Amino acid sequence: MEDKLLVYRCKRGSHQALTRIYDKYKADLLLLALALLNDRAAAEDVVHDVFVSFVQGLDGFRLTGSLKGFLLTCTANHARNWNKAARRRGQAGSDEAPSRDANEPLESVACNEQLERLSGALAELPFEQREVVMMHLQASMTFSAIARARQISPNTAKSRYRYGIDKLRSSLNGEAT
Amino acid sequence: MKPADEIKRLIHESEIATGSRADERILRGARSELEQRRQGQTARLEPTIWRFIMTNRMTKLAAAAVMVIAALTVFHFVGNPVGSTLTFAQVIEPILAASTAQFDIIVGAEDGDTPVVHDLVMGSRIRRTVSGLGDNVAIIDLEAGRILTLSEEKKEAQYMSLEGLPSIPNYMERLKNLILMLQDSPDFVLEDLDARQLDGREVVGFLARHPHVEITLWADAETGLPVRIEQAEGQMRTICKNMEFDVPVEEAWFSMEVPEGYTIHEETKLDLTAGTEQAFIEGLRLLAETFNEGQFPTGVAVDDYLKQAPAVAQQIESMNLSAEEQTALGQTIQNYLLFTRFFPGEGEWTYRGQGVMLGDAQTPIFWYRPKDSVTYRVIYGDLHVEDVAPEDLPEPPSAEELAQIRSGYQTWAQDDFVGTQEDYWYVLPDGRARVKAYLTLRQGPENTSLLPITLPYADAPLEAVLLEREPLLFRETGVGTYEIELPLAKLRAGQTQIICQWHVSLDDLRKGPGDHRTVLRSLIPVTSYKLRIGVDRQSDFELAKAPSGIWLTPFTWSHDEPTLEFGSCGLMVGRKR
Repeated sequence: MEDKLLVYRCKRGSHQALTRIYDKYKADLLLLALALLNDRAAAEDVVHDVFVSFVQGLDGFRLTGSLKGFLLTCTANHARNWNKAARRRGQAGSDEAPSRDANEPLESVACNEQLERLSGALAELPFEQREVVMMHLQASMTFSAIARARQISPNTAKSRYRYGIDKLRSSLNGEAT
Repeated sequence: MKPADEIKRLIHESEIATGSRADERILRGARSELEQRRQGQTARLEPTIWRFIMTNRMTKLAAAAVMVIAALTVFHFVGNPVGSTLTFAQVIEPILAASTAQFDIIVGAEDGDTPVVHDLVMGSRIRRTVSGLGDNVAIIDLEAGRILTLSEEKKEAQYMSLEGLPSIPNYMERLKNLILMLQDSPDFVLEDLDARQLDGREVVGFLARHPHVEITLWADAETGLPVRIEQAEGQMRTICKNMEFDVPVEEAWFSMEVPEGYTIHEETKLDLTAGTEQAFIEGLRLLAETFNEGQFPTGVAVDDYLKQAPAVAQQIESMNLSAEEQTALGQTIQNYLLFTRFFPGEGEWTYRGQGVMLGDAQTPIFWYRPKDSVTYRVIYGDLHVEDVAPEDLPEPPSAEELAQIRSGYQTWAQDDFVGTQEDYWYVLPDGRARVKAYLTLRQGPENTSLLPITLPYADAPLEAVLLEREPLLFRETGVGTYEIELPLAKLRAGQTQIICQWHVSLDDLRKGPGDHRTVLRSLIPVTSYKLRIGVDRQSDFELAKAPSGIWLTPFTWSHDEPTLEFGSCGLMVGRKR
């Protein structure tokens, strides 16, 4: 119930409630963003955008499931958009700047060794596989839910997951040997 | 190990940390958006209608608490007959003689917005309806500690059990007992009020004041029947009006059986003992944090909540809470409301939270004195609690109140008991004076449970001894001397006032010119002694001068050195001329 009260208070404009939601879930959201993008600054930007769109959408927002699940899905969506934009920038040689001020000193997020290993291994997967692996294992989404969110068939979601896991295993095992 | 298990473990063991500047960067955009929302938001929701309260589980539960609180609040009449044409005794007579009654109750101000509770009473049962709630009826069975609520329109029924309900076998009897029990209370002062017009008829009024309750009773000047009672107890204001007694009723109206064709919902309970300090704090937190923009509410009395309830109900609607979640919130509010009504404390509580922001650790917002405590519990704006000496309170009590707070019973190395005493002489129609000595014990020897006393007149034997309305055992040890068995545990728990009763014939007293004189002797050595006298209007006696209330005070004495004898004084009473 705490999350519903927090959302309600956010709707009433409570900064305290917004901060509480952020403190509660920031680690999960940043971890997912970092795992998907393998870029700490990009992960920060994605979580920034997740919270901006969360506040923008408060008027029509009704929390039916878990707030954590909702925010993780948003993070996956924003990471996907960020990834697409990055690819476009790469193809077009665009110098489109990230939302952060380039002159701002970056006191970024700090990761432990396990997260470094995980994001390093995930970086070797195609984004679509990374996404399904993390949405399933971290956000606890079912394959059907992932399929609906990504407008793919459940079988496609499952096969992306299976390929992803296999590659991750060999990547991590290879790293160990 | 499954292929995914290793990855899962890695995810589980992954840790990420952010510094405050990273947090600030990430939240900056959202905060800015939120600020724009705040500025664009419409003004605070206006209260709608009382009916709204009963449309969701959360506020229904709180409303149930209000209903019960009202049931246990009304009617604490006390006093003795005074007045010129119509006496207080005459006015309360219909109440004492009634077997049924009906009246309207308003908890809070009579401003048109506050709901009116209509009660029909028969024995231990009350049939209660509330204005604005249409066909919703509550049958309250005080003996069984149960409420049956019925919605005739929806054909729905629900039982609620009341836990921790004080024993109230019969509502009307309780009312009568209260009157009789408190009638002799020396702390009461009764005043006549000027006659006035009320709802198109002339009424006469009586104001009864007591340290814990103030009651104004208005009665029809012609019929003498009570028509309106205003009661202030602590911070709770209750108005009882449109009173009628011995109204014809049918037993079926009070039946606790669910009528045929009704859907029965799961029974709920209301635990009257759940109103703890912690529950009160949680209620304050919820109201400030969730329903009041971070500020504490205007007030914490039941009527304050009633005013806020429709807005709370409306806000609850927009929160998309499940039935269980609404129930949990409702229970928080229920227990919060119960605290200020039933907390085990002494005297009144004080609330100064209006306008204070949640989190303000410097500002005291609420304080009260727990039973038998010398210090106060003070709740601050960040909801931490401290024990505070009375003189350190934001609004310290008067010197007299301070002395009273610190006057608990203590043991000492000496053999004597010491206390304070006030004697109340009440002259009866048969020419005798009923004497009640209110002896408050201050100090006594350790582990001694026998209190030796000496009465002023050997031929006026001791008749009864009470401690907190419970009789104490005593035995005669000599001419005019007695031993009382003291319950030491009760004394240590703060129950230190003993009432001893005997009768004296005024004709046996030494007579002065137009007066009767009495010796002045306390039961044990005391540091203060008072004698007060009142006269029954039916007796042949009258006081030498008109008292402002019931009692004249012919003698008063106080000193640090405990004393037993004070000479003699005139009683300021003589036969009617």
